[in-house]
Amino acid sequence: MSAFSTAFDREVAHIARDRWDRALLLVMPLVLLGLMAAMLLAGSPRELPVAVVAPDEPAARAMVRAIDETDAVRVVARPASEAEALALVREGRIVAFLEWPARAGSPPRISYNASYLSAGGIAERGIASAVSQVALERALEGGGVEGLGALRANPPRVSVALLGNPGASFEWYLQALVDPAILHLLVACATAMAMGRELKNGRLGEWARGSGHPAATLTGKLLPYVLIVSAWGAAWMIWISGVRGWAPAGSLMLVFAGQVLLYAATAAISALLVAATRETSTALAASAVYAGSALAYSGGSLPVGGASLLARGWSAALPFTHYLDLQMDQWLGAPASLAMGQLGLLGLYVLVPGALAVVLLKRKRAA
Amino acid sequence: MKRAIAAMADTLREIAGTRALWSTMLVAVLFYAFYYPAPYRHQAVTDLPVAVVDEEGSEATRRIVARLDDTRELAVVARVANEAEGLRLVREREVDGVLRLSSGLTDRIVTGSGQGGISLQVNGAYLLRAQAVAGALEAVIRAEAREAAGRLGGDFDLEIAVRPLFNTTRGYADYIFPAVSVVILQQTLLFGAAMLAARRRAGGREDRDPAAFAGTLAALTLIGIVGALFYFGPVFWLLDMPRGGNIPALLVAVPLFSLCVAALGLAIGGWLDEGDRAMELLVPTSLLVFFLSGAAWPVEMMPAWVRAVAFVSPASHGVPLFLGLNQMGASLVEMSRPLGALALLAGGAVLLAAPRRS
Repeated sequence: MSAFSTAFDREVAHIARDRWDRALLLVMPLVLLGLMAAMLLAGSPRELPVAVVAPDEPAARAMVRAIDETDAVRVVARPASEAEALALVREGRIVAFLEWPARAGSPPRISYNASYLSAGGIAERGIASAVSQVALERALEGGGVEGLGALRANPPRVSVALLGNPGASFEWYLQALVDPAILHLLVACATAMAMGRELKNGRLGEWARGSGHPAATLTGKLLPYVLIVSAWGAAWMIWISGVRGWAPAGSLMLVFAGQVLLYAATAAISALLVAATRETSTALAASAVYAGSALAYSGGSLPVGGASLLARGWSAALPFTHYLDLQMDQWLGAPASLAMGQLGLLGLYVLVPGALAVVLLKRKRAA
Repeated sequence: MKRAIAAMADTLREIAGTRALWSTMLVAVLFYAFYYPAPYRHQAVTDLPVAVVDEEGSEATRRIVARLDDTRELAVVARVANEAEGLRLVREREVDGVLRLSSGLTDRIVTGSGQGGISLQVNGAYLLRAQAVAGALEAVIRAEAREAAGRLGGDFDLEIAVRPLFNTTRGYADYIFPAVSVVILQQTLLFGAAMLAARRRAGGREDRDPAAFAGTLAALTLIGIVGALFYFGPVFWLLDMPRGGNIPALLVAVPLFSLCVAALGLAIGGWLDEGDRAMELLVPTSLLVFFLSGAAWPVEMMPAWVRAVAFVSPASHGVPLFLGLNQMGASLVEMSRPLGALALLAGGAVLLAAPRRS
């Protein structure tokens, strides 16, 4: 048997035997991705709790009804004062509130909890759309000079089309960011642990010497992890595009190829980390740092364009950034030629750390 | 009591003498305080490239384009002849969106009628960017329409005052980092406590009596308290995070949170066969722990069973608790829900982690 298949078979046998590694590779992805999927099933935040501070009069009641009818929010409280409304915000019972002025002239005011910027912003826009709609209708019904003014002040409608995510689905968006990042982190930990098992007195030399072919042994050892995690990645893509209907305008196969390369690159980096640090715990800590923060540095949420040079440089140095570019571009429908460059780059993240790890193994073998 | 204090001192000595432990519970906490916020510190979407199709070519549309380019969020990098050309640039990732100002727009703004309009097609794969582009565009158009109405003597004002609370500049780091910091504090202490318990178990050195266990728990809780006060004090100050500051309440909330996390870590570690397992199994949960906390996706939107799972993560209560105390200036009474949940969870974790009577 070749060094590759010996190492591969040995690792598969280990995974079958070791209940913790089995749990990490076969149960945890289901739990982690399953919880993300269930959490986001609603698609977009809806019926967020808000309050209205207004005198009890027909116009205010109509306003409450209009706000209630929006998808984004529902009115759960009618506090008597701003102070009461603020207390409800602090308690987390509402995310926003409208103060509808008792007298004409002063503008209505929407306050929202910007410490929860995402939900708060959605609630604010929901209330604002209802308020301006009602105000406009009333002015137009009134007619006369005010009606004309309202017509003029009614800005032209801006039609916005979201390419690649027409329904503004947070389910798609957040899973696209988070799920590959979870698998990236998981395979980083699994492979760092796997490499760490081969350390004897802080050295990988004895293990590498055993086969005579360090590169083949290394590949055979790490391949089972890459395959298993890639299978979870494929399962996620079937869920999001096949079951939940977010079909990419570009190529799903290119995205999958990117994922396999990302996980292979992660395994190669783990091998390098263990070979270089000769300590499992340090390699695991380093994995937590670079893979655990990969999403933050990817620019997938807040673009890193405005960040410091150091942050931008680190963002570009992390393989996950390039995978996410590839994935999002394909979902949008970017040309395949763009993906080829990104795949090539991801390939380098497999080859360079992998080759360095082999060099270190060989050096130790000679030692 | 003497035994507990001795066990606490032993635990602190063990942590100080074991690199894997001190690097996780102390160095990592220090490091993450500056590493994690770095990609968010610019706070807002800046200069996203967009292409413009200006069909009208009038003074008004040129003014709109210039105003768009002046916004923080957008940079007009290309003028294209038609929408198809712009869409090609979007797909090739040269620009994030293409904006069409159709002819008749000025007329529409001035008279409030007519066919002129504005359409924006924006890369929606990155939803946050797309929202920033659309929001900036709408603000510019509203301002333009208001001015046009003002010039023509229209006095009707649809203005709505909008007030962001607590994070008054709507900064992105100011939103993400206070929540993430709770997750960082939880995960580093949880890893460390679980690693300590698993190492002791592997070495046959588990705490065998309640006094020794109490000492171990106290040592870990103390480390958690130091880390949390470091974040909520100097780190938030240095990073200029929003501070609504209910500092006295932290003296209750921080020890409870740390106790809860430390006990949970000891309970988990008591199951594991070796120290490194703790990192291997717990590190991959970090992203989920953040999302379960409700900072990015509202808790109200989660199915009941997901909320039940979220309950066992201290950060699910710690995030609302510490955002409330640190950013919003909430009182302990207003925070009674997360405080109660943390107390309950801490009690359960202590029972799970405590040595069994033999």
